[in-house]
Amino acid sequence: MPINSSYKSYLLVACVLITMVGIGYWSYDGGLHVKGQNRQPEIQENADYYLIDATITQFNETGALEYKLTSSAITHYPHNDTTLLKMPHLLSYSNPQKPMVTDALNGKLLPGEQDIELWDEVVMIQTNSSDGSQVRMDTDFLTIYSEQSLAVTDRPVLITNDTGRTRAIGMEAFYKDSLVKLKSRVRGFHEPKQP
Amino acid sequence: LPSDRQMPIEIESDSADIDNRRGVSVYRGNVVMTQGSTRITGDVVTVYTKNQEVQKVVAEGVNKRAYYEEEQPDAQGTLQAWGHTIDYKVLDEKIHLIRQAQLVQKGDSFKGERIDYDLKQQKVNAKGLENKKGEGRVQMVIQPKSERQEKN
Repeated sequence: MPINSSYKSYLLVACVLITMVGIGYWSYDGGLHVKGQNRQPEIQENADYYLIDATITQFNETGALEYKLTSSAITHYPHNDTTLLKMPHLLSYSNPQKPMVTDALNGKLLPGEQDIELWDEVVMIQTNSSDGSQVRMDTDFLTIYSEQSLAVTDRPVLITNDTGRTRAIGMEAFYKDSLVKLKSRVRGFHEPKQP
Repeated sequence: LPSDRQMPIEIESDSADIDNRRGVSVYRGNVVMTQGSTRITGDVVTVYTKNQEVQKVVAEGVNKRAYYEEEQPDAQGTLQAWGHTIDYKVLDEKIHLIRQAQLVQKGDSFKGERIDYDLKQQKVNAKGLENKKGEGRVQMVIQPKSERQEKN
């Protein structure tokens, strides 16, 4: 019966297709797990844009590189014009001879995107490119006013350099001029260079 | 002690301004600076460094005089010095005591408007006030030898 033969061919084609799908499924690299985008709760609220693994490069009016900011998640909120940052990594070039690298777990670009607040494991390292000497500053909250090249905190701070370390509570660092003002409870410890 | 210079420097104060570019650190408020047996106190202590090595320390006393003390080698006791300004030239190993200067060493005591002391040679040079009679003159108290040995 002609219908019978066409039925057989449909059946055959279906079997082939199922087999191909089966092979395709098994050969699929099972190890490749695409994580569902775990959207931060705050991202959805009233953000107008967010970036994942982003880099912001800022130049000043003379065209010189001012700072470069990378972050695993950047979320902007129009209602107060603030931008939340996850794992911010900030390279400041206001003093090209002494570039500064600042890292933290969290941060926030303040309105106008010139000033930035950083908190949780804030580490700021300034390297003197002429002799390679470094000054490192650890605290848990820091505000950077990039136009004034000023970093401010009222928290405990530890400053370490090649020959020693200084602890204090509260600091103002004019990092372009390598000037640091320590507000209270200053404890310095310096090893003299061995001859 | 000569070995003090190889020891770490510890410094405590209420606040500080550290200018890494000029190598000048100003410590203010109940400042205590120690290095081995050397100890300096003052209301304001300014530390001058070059290539991160301390060249000079200036201690100023506003409310009360600044103070310097250091253990003398060969168990000769402690050198003590006071002045409203103490200018300590680390590399030259000299201290200058200015205004209401006083120095006590091995039982001997010196007072004057200004005292310069050579730490290495243990030499004292004291000056009085030129135009004042009596009060500003240099005063020395030298212990007789026997008493001096007892004192050590």
